Amino acid sequence: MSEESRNIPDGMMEPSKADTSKTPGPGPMGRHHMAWLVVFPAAFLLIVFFLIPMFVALRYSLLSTMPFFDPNPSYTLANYIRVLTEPIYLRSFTRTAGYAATATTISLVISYPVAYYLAREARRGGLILLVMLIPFWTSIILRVFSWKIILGSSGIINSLLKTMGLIDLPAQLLYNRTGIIFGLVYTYTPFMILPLYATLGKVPQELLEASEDLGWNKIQTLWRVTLPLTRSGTMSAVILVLLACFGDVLSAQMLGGANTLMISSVIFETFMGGANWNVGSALSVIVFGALLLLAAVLTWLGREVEHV
Amino acid sequence: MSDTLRRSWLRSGWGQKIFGLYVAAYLGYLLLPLVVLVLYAFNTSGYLTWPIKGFTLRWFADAFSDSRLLKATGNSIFIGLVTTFFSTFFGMLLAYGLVRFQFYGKRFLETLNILAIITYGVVSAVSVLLWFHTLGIAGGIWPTIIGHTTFIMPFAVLVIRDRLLNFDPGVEEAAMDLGATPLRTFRDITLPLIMPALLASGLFCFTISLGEFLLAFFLIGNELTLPVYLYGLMRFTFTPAVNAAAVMIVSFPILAVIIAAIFFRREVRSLY
Repeated sequence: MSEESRNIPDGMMEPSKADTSKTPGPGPMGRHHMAWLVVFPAAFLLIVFFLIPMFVALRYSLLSTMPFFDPNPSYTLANYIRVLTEPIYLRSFTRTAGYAATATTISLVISYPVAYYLAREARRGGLILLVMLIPFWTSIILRVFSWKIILGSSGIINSLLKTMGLIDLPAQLLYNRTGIIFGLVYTYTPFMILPLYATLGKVPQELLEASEDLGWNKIQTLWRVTLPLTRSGTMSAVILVLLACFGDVLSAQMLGGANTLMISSVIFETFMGGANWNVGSALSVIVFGALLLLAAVLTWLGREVEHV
Repeated sequence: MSDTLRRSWLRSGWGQKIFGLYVAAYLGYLLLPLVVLVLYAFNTSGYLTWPIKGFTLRWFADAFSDSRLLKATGNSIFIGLVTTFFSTFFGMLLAYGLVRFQFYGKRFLETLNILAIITYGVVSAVSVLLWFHTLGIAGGIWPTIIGHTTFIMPFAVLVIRDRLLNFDPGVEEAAMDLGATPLRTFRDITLPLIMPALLASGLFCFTISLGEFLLAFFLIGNELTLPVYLYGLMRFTFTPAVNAAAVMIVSFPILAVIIAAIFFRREVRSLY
């Protein structure tokens, strides 16, 4: 069981490290010419429907108008200038960064103990993982909506607080920062737990026992053995959740309000409402660039510490 | 004495109890929205306020007479099944290629695969929309399937690749040394060995596709998927019929999980 269930999230966040070390070079199966035949369908999808669209967005972000309005649009930087000078864009970008960072931190604090427990209690771990998958079978829209029922001004939490006599007026938990961060933490914590669980499962039990035999207590062992050993994996989990928070639309749309516009919502509304798609493309390109940069920096941080 | 105490801090006593309670609390938090959905699916009042009023099955009847809801659910299941098939199949091929072959462009594909996962979000969705516009492809069920497969397949690749890395390639080599063709080796040796990963990946892909909103929203055109339909409802008129539909949808997998747990219990035990 533990073997089986651990296999699933194991390779999850580690792009290519295992490959080079574990593949014993091109063995009897290592025929080069067959390889592209085998990987072709997947490579086709990734290149044609993931990579090329990014360049398409880049091109539109540099055009004055969409080609279906004018077949010969001119190239311009006006869209970028507009995005960088109009305060609504910049403000929603920094706001999003703040929310994403807060939600990711809270999520990490919640997740680490859960993942630790899953990794150490293999017997129950499998069952808990199964239970953790159940919510995914209901659309995330419904789950976020459900929080709206729970957090609303006549919702469950406020009603309970009122009957207990703790508050007179309902606490404002929705349509503000609290609501959004609540939604983000709820939505993405499972995505933090799975890679953390995978990386924690790789820490050898003997190492922890040795550390304690040599006189470190649990806290010291956690701080000086487990945390350093799982730093790279933790960074992967953090990247995944941070970037997901950046790209999230539903929490922002359903639990946020007029003063908590997030950058993903801005992009979403731009394309949904048929507003200026060129400006929308410029926004997308900037966000995509920022995400790549963030992922690269965090990966680098994770790697560097690992080698020390 | 103190050593044993320390070592067993997690295994028994307070530490484990607190830990267990904490994890239970987390699961409660994770499942709370589902419980609330179920409660309101049976609630007589059409308003989503606390406390709930009484018991009714009315919303289930409503759900069955809502043709758009049924259509959207059908579409979602169809898209989910087709996406699952292609994601797992193509994902398996890519995973196999990445693990067993050295070839030009391997690092590139690996990077692309990871990037597709970590950058998935509104930006990827609108980029695909722009690309389809450029190609003159109108929205619909098949464009949505293409979008889903592109962004869900990378997860399948990771799951299956991990399994491929974790068994001894010697068994494959042995089969080939004994004269089996590469195709036969794959069918008779590799495939059975990676079957658990294929099943896990299939389940995973179906789950993601069923709940995926952003790509579906931009690529579905005049059709509907369940999340797109629900999104529309929540902006305008919401009735607990949606809760009822959700309860029905979520109860299938829960049953499946329970059955699987009972069915596989012996195998699970035998691993200890």
